[in-house]
Amino acid sequence: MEDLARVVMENALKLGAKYADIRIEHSTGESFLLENGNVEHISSDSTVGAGIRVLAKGAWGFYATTSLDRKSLLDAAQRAYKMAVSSSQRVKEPSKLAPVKVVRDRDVVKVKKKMDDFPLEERVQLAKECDSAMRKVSKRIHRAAVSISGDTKKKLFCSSEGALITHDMMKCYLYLRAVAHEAGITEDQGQLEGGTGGFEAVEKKDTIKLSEELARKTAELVKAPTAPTGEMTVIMDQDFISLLSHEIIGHPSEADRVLGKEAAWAGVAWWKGMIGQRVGSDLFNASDDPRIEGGLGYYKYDDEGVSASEKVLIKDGILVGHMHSRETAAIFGVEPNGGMRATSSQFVPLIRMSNTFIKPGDWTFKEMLEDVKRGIYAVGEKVPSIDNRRYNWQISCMWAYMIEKGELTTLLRDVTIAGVAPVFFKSIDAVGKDFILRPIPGCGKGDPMQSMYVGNGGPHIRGRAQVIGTRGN
Amino acid sequence: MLTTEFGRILEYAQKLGADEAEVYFLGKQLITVRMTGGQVLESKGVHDIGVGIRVFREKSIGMAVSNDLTRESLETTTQKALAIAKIRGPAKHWKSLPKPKKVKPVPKIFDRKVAEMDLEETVNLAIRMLDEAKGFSRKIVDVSGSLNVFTDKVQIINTHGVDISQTSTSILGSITTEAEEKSSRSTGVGFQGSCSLREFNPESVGEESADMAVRSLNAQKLEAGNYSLILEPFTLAEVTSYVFAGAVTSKMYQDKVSCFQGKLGEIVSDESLSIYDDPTMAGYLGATSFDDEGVSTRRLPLIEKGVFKNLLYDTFYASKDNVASTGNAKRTGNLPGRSYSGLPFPEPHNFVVDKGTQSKDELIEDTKRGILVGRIWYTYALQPERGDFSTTTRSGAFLVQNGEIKKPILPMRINDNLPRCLQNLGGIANDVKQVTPWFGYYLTAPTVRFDGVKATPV
Repeated sequence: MEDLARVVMENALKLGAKYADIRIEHSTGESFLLENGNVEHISSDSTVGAGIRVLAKGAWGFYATTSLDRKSLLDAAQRAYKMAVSSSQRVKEPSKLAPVKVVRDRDVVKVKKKMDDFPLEERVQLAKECDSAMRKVSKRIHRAAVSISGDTKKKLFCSSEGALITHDMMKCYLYLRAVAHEAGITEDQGQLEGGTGGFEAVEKKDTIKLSEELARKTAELVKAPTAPTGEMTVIMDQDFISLLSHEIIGHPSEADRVLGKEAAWAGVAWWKGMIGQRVGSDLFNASDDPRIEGGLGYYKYDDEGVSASEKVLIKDGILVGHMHSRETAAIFGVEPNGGMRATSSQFVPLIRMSNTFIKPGDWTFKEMLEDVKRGIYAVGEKVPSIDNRRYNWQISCMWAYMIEKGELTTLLRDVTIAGVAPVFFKSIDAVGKDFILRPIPGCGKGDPMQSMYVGNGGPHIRGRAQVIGTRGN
Repeated sequence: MLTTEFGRILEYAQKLGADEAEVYFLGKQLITVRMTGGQVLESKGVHDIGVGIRVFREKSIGMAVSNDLTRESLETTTQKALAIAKIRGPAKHWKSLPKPKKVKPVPKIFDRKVAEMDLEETVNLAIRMLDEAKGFSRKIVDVSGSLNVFTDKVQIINTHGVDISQTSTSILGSITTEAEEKSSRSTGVGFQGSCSLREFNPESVGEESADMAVRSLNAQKLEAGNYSLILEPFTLAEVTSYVFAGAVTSKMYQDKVSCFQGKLGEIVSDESLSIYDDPTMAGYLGATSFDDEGVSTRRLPLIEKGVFKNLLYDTFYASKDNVASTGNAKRTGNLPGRSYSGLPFPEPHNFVVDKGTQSKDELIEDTKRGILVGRIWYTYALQPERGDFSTTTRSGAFLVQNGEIKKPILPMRINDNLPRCLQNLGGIANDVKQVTPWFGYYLTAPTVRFDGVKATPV
């Protein structure tokens, strides 16, 4: 396939392309859903495809096909070239690419437990044990669900500049869900484990214990009161921070959003033009780093063949950088930092977060609590509501606790936390050292929309925010 | 199409022990033109073909997907589906795959001109949307958007004799416009969709978007409170896609996480409201004569004159409730339109809200204190079993006071409840339009007003 990929690239250049690249992929996946002890469905897929991107006359064209023979790929390259030429009508600002080192390498994800090492029958058995553990916890648990999925992808990237990179990837997830009901109150909580790697990513935690804990808490919540409403000190756990770092740090750090290129659907970024300016307290540091092994956003090279590196986004409260493609790096006059990914060969790469997180500080959770006379401890994440500049945010948590005189007291249900990005970031007065990266598999962007898998996280964070007791009864 | 080869695969599945089998084939041709910064950003084409093979053995179901259509691959995929069925174990409620029935074709869902549109024509159509928005006013500072044009060829064949095929075409155009005046910036959105080239008016998309952006300039902050929320079709589509759809899906109802739980046959909204799923409307997006299992489609009342009438069913979930499928099996993939990669699941084809008797202007004139909204986003069901949802206004938001549009307003967050909104329906206009939100379901609806909705400035 490598020789054919090179031929296709040479052909694209002969047609008149200034640059071209091709991604040839073979993906497989197996997933199932088990509910209340019964398998609801199992599916398996095996697909191949190639996507060819061409830059010609200052504009981009792309064509994807599921036929991988020589004739089909040469035809696809020609179509991609024609697409680029058609796109070039009335181009005011021709697309340019910042130069990068041409790479020839392999990226093989470390996998201890492959698909065959943990057969579907055994995965279903594990799910049944988790399901049973959840339903045994309490009579209030009237529904338990467990889903386990594993995906593999072999990808060849070849560019007209001579880059040739093979990727051998695998990622796995375990999703647990417990639904409790009593006296008109329903609590529905879910938890996702997993990341890049083999099924050891799913098994690394004691899944039965995890299932029991989730169910126990869900059952307790139906009897819990709702939270008081108002501005107060909030300590957020790592899971809550994972969604906050995703929505309020990761997305506005994508340079295409900063430039307004995603204004039609995904939105823009409030900190446009603010590089070098203070956006948070001295304790606030955030980065994106695809190289974290096991993180769901892991990769060594992006879909433009650029080497992955840590992208420092916020340093000591100052906005210092964005995530870039080769094109946006050229616009900003910075080095490309490897931020381009596509969900599959059917799509063009977009600037996507990989593993985006708030960096750890030096506080313990106990030290954070001790200072708080009255506040909220927000645990887990559920549903975000964000304005399209990523300025004002609202995130509901799985549950929360009152903090009174330095101690966790009452368990609370249906709590939502809201804030204004710079106001909240500047209020951060304690950053934990207990860093955790969480998997977030369904991040949408682009048109047609691409659903991307990323890692997000951070340590415990303390700041000021609005607390909303979501419902009254 | 490939009837002979697929028929052979069905025989192969039966030879291996399957009681029933089904081959779902899809061939898709998609062209997307994306625009940003007032120019074309990129043009993209996708040619995608593949099959989903489902087998049933002693009520045990297995499904496997492949886009390699060689005989060897199809046989391997069939073997995999049977191996999965063995692991799954029987679904005791399962009855049967659909049997052949007469299907009434829905007219005007295929336009040869759309299927044969060349790239240059497609790009030019996108540029016409762009140009109209750019030329609308000197206040327009940025225009972005997309045009998606696709053709789906579907064929479903099963061991009971179903052998059915259909080709449909779709054009979806969307423009987002940004306007600027002094220090004020605002956005607007325009959308249009159609199955035929003749029905698609690119200029109207650009004009709608630019007009909303310009009218929204110099927005002011509004205080928190209870308002009448006047949702234009594009806004209502977010609510029907992300909050309402789940509540009328059989799977959610069976799981007891629908906010209409236990209310089938009961009044759940103001009696002036009727909502259908209607895939039989000639020329409308989502129209299809059969669903993704080959069951013929029909106009299905979901809420009729305020009464909760029906749930959306595919064959699997219908057999759980011992009822017939409503023809709502859909397979959802990554690309717009049909997909061979997903498992069938009950979903709407095209939600339809019956129009009212008053015009949109009259609905506004009838409003004491309200918010008119052209676009919302990040709409989620916070508690699906209760119908609590949250969303944020994004474009075209205006304060309505004593029957008049007073001023554009800055973004507001809405935290409210769907059953409560439906019971507090304030009015339905007659300005029907078909729309779809980002990765949502089609909706054909007029502007609708809900009273007493909680909104807070963000």
